[in-house]
Amino acid sequence: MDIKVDKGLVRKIADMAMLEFNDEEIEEFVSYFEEMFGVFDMLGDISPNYGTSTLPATLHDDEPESRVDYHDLWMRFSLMKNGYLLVPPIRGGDEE
Amino acid sequence: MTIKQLRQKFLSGDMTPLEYMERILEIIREKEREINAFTHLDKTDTLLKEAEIWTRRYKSGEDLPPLAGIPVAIKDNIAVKDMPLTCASKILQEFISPYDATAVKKLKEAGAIIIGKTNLDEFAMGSTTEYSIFGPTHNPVDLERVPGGSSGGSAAAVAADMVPVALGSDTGGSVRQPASFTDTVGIKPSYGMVSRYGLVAFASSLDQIGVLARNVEDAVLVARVIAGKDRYDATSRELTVKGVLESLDTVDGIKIGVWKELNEHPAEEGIMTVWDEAIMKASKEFPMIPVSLPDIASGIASYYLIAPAEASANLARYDGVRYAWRVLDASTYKEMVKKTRTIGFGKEVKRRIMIGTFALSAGYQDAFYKKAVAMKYKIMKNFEEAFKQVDVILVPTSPKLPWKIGEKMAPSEVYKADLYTIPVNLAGLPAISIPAGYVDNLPVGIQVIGRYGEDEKVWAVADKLLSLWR
Repeated sequence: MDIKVDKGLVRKIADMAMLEFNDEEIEEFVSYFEEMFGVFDMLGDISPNYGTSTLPATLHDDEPESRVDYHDLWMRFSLMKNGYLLVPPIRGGDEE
Repeated sequence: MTIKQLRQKFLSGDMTPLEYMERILEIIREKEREINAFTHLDKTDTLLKEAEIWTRRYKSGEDLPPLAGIPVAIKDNIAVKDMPLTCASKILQEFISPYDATAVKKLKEAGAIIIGKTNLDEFAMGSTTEYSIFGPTHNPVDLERVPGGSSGGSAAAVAADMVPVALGSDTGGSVRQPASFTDTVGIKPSYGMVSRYGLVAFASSLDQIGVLARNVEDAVLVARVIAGKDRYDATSRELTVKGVLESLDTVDGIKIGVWKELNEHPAEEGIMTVWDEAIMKASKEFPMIPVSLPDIASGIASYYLIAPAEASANLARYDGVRYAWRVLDASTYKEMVKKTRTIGFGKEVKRRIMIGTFALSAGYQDAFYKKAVAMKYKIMKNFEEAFKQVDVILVPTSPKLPWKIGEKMAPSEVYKADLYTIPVNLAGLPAISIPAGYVDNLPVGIQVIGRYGEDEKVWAVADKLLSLWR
């Protein structure tokens, strides 16, 4: 995917992430994004649909063969709302 | 001296927990100024009082738990009740934890004395322990060099004999790489073996609490204590964990895999020399079989999308409302949140939030995040195939030797130093880094990687290999 990284894109992302940057920092982020796209090229042409989900019936399923695919769960939750601030926190981490 | 030997001394009266604590505090006083391993140390009086209680209990002859009177340090992204929980970040600098992480609760129940909190890269995002509001931690092996990261404070504290054992967290190699850099042992358990409750979330699908120690036996002892299913972490599970002594007998018949494509992604020259020698020595005791893991080098790309994507969501909660510090000079809610986050987060954390937010934004999910997850599955498949032929796989821990503090490197250059550790997290596998040799007095670690849930086999092989390599 050919993506043009410019200051406008970086500003838009910063706004979504609730962060503020000055012009110099925005320039730095343009370079950083370009650098990271070079890293992401290592993914090659793998299909986004590669692999199958092994989502178990419940989170508490104890069968080793069907352990929770947390990535898949997380992706479903996050993409469902299409906005990172709307991701519902899953119990765990530092949330009591 | 191992923890087991230390306990023997406590039991025989050759040394008391109080005398040991005094010795530990003396070492910390002597070395901490130049190493900067800790972000917080508990009060001396409190620590001595606790050690005194254990001294009395040892003298009474009662049956005591496995870590009775043993000082343990905890990485400052793991909650310890009534101690600061800063994640080495300005945004959490005033936060005191109101509860214990499950792993810490288990340590306390096993008799450990929590001595303090250790330095890290802010929110565990880094490989050097330089990105911290407390300043960089110095490597006890060579004070001009980084101790690795992000659990660099825990690794340095163990390497400098400030504590026999410490907890760290490993999201992409943050226990194993510092272990390699400081000549210590670092365990990254199978995903789910240790509860993440009370570990500040960075990338929830990859985060796992691990252990740093000076030998395999101590690291395993502590890993056994903190393992187990926990109702507060739905991804935790009960995995079979045998005693280290029993499991050490199980190395007969073990087949070791050696990563075939290493020459296509080689480490620095000196590390490759240590690697070749280590493999040669190991081949005298174990059948060594080359195994192909063709896609694991692409783990870097997958990880640096998945981890920041999850981080961008996990760190959304630091909005100046729910936790500790906030900017007061703002006229609207949005302005307050933006200013708090902009000033509160350091440079590297902001980089990762930005790339993660981008990866999840509409229109780019298929091209980035979904492809990264697809690559994760492919890497899991690589390991699955390899484990049809062998029981464990060896891979160097780091492609680089510990570099100088302050050395200028592009972010992606630093990220590539995680090349060999990241695939293990993506696949959720158990691994351990053990010392394998030296290049110009700088330590080199090698990882032993196992099948999911076969942690004890990994530890047993590691213990045997360490005896061959040391």
